[in-house]
Amino acid sequence: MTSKEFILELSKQMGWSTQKVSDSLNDAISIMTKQLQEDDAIYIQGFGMFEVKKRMERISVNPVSKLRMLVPPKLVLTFKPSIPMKDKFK
Amino acid sequence: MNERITIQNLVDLLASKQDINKSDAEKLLKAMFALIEKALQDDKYIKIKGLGTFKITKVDSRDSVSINTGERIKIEGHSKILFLPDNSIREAINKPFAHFETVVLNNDATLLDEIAIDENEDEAEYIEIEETEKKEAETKDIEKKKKDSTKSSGLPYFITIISLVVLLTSGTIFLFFKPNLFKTETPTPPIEKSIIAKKTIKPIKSAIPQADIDTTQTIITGINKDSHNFKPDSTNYVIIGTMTTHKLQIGETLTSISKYYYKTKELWPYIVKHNRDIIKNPNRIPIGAMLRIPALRNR
Repeated sequence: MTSKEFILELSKQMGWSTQKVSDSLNDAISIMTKQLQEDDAIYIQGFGMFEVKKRMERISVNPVSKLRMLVPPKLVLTFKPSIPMKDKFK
Repeated sequence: MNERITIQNLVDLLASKQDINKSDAEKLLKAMFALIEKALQDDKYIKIKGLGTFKITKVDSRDSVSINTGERIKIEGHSKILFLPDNSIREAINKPFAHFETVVLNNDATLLDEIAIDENEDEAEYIEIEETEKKEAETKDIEKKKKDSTKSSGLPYFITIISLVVLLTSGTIFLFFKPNLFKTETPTPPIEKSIIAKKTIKPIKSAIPQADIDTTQTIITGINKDSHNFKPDSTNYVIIGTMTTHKLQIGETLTSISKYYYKTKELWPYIVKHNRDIIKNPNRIPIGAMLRIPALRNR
């Protein structure tokens, strides 16, 4: 399912126009992004948890050129599905 | 900060931002996550712009060991949910660390014994480069190849090119000066000869394994002759002082600096000679090194 189909389906369920759905969806995502940037985890009952994790710096070696590179630390967004959700797709 | 926020908090924030009431906001968010779940069930794939992609992937069955009993157990293959954040959200999250870049580590950080091996190899290369450098003035097409090789960063590629060039030049020289070769070749001390031979054989062998013993023999004699020719050239000029200093920029090579100051790239060995304390290895000079450009006088 693509983003377009997702919005279309959501607008059907909500009885709103696609424009309104996509606008409020964008708002919801930007709110989530803002919360995640402030180091909060978003927990959604029955769905899962969005969390920001820090990946430490590491040294990697290019297997072809044998160049050693220092990969910097970074913050990544992770999603951990809830247990019922996990079991559902197992 | 470091809190776990729930769908209720999101509802409040969304309602305060948008002109929709709380119940609608809650309905929307719940419908959104329910729909993601449903889409995963139906399509095994859903992409939401601005957030990311959810998909179902298969995990193969694998062997493992039970933590409690230490017995070998088999974990059955199953599916799991994968989430790939969208580029926009990934960048937004990583903003505090965005200024970091992957850096290539210098070989300075290698272990002691590694360095010893490295230096030996580099020395061999260095000699080869100088030898070929002298010969190159006559043949232009080979010069082109050399230019490529000095610019390329991959060391294996570099070695291959250099040894190819050595092979080519020594081959032509051998053909040209065949009658002279045995006359002019002055007997060198056997120890020195064996050292040179040892140094040169290695890269050549690795580049052209199919070369038979006869050709390698020729190469060695050719290179021996080269090393005799090396001296006259470096005595054509004398260093009479420091002309100026030059800060090494990214992408510059010794030959390009030589070309800039002397209008020819053949004179780079003088820069090396004049900066022995800075240039430990002519193939690897740190960016930003202050090189002293020698003033030269024709002898």
